[in-house]
Amino acid sequence: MLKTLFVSAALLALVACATTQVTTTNPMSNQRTAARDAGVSTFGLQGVDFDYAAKEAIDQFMTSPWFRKEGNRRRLVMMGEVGNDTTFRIDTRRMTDRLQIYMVNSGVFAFTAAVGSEATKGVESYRELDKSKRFDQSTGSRDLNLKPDLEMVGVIRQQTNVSSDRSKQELEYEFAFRVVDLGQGVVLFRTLVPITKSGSNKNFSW
Amino acid sequence: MNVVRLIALVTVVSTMLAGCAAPVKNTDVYGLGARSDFNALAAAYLSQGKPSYNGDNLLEVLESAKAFHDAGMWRLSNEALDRATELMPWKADKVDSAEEVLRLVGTTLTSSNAGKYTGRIFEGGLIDYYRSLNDLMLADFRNAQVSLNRLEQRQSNAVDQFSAFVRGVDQSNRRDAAENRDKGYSRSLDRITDAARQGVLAIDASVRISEMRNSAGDALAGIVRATSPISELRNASIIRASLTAASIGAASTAGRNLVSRLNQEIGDGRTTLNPLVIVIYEDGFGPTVSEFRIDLPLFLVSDKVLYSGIALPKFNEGRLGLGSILVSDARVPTALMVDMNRISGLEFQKAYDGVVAKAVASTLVKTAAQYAANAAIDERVREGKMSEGAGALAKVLTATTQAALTSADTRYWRNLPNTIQMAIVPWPASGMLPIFNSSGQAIANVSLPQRGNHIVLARNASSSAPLSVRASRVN
Repeated sequence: MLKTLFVSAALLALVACATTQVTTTNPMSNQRTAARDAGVSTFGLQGVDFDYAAKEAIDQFMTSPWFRKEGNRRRLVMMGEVGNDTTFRIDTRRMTDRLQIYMVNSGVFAFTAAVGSEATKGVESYRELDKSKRFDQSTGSRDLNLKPDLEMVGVIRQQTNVSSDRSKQELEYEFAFRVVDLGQGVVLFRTLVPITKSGSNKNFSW
Repeated sequence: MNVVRLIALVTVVSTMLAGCAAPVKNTDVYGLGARSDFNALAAAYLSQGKPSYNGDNLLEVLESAKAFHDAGMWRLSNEALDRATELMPWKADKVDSAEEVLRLVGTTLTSSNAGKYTGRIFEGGLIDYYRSLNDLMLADFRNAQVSLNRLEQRQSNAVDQFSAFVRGVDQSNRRDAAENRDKGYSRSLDRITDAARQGVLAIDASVRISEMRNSAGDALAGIVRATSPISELRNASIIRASLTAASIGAASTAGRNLVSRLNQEIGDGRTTLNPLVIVIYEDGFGPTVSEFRIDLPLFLVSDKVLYSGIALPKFNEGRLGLGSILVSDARVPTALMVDMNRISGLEFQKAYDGVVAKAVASTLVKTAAQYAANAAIDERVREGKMSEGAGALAKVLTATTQAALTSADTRYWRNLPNTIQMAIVPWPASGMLPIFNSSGQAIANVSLPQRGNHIVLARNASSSAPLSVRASRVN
């Protein structure tokens, strides 16, 4: 009886230790973060993963052949959908917000809030004001909405691989983005930023 | 010890054991279900409109999740399913997992159902399947996609997990055999093998491992991806893989034919589909597990052992509701995609030899304890410290205790359907979708006023009860 309980307790302790360690290929994960300091280790995507994917994607865009040739003109971008094709319930705005911040800060790009996934009710209702007799039509902006030049769309994918002895699992994330010339319908730029996380196969990763 | 105290002790022990054996809320699943009163069934898990199930009891969480789902309480169902996900994270089922060790220790020392309910492999897939349906009914396509991705991963893993499970049970049995060799374990096991077969008679021996997959879930995954508003998700190769899996796992030829038609419609990930109505019909109540007892021939039998029996679980087929339904004015019959008897029967069947062996070992341990206790009673009677009458009653007590401790694990997710069926029809231009029973009598008329793809969930648990129908526009 005592022997059985002792073995059980030892196994419990081993299981507890074995299931927490997850390693990642994200080079930014070495940076000091509150989660890292707290010893949080997860197969899921964290802020540092979105930071890395957004920065890497935009750095590649800014050094792409198209940008080097055409990047001296200010462009208006429509943010399209970023799909979540993973097993994690991700708020994809965590990704699109970062992409937009990096691009806007470059000084070359602006994003439209008139159309696309970032369209706001404010722009829509402002147009309605033009027809209202209750508003002084000599006030406010008379500008027309601008048509965007480019669209940015993407998807976050996940592939799970398991070691042959089924003790380890590896989650390959791919952050895939495209920049499309809306007028010509041509894909100007495409990138794929991988991040891999590895750990125990004891439990499902989510 | 006097007679009154002995009887009192027997009563207390029996009552305590009976209490331990009641694993979940005593909801009248079959009574309420027979009337298709799914709201009343869900209400059993609510108190003043808030969830009141035991969040640490996996079985109760699963049953409440399904009850909320059947009642159209999608968010409450999702909460319960998320809790079930937390309680059932295991992937590679091995005997060295913490919960498995505890369960086996509990099984050996007491009875089969004293351990914590850790869930069955097929139940993991159902968690994600129902989560995706709830998400679709809430028009939350992003989360539906995540749930279907999880379902795919669980189903892909299920075969490996299943093999690991069988290996784990086998290893555990070998340990039991070694530890109980002196108690006649192997001979006892050999002698009851034929009698024990009745526990799995209701399971079709031809059931294939591929049928562990929920074919309706695979078909749904293909449809949701093909109709996704996000172009990046309409990946033709993934859609085809889902539909291939749905075809392989389908429980009927009609199901395979439906998937074949679906493959022609959406297999290339086309975006310009005519609006579809996906009808998912759940019929009847799924299989149940009961207990039966057989005498265990003991090779240590003497007058010191008054009782030794073995309790085993018996798999019972589910019961029909309406059987099937006909959808739309064209009266398209629903196709059988999932037979819960086959999915859960497969797991039950593969585990059964292990369960029998475990029950024999458990009984031998308890019988040895009874032998030792009764030898001590005889000794006290001989020394004059106990009267012969009190000694006899004390032996009855030990035998009664063993009988009470001997029980099979009959816990089962009770409000699952017997079958899951599917029909896919064009969206009706009239905005009304009629549904008929298999005799052609109209039993429902579903309003789908807006042009577009829709999902219709229909549920019936008894042919004498009305059909419960809920619909949502999916995109």
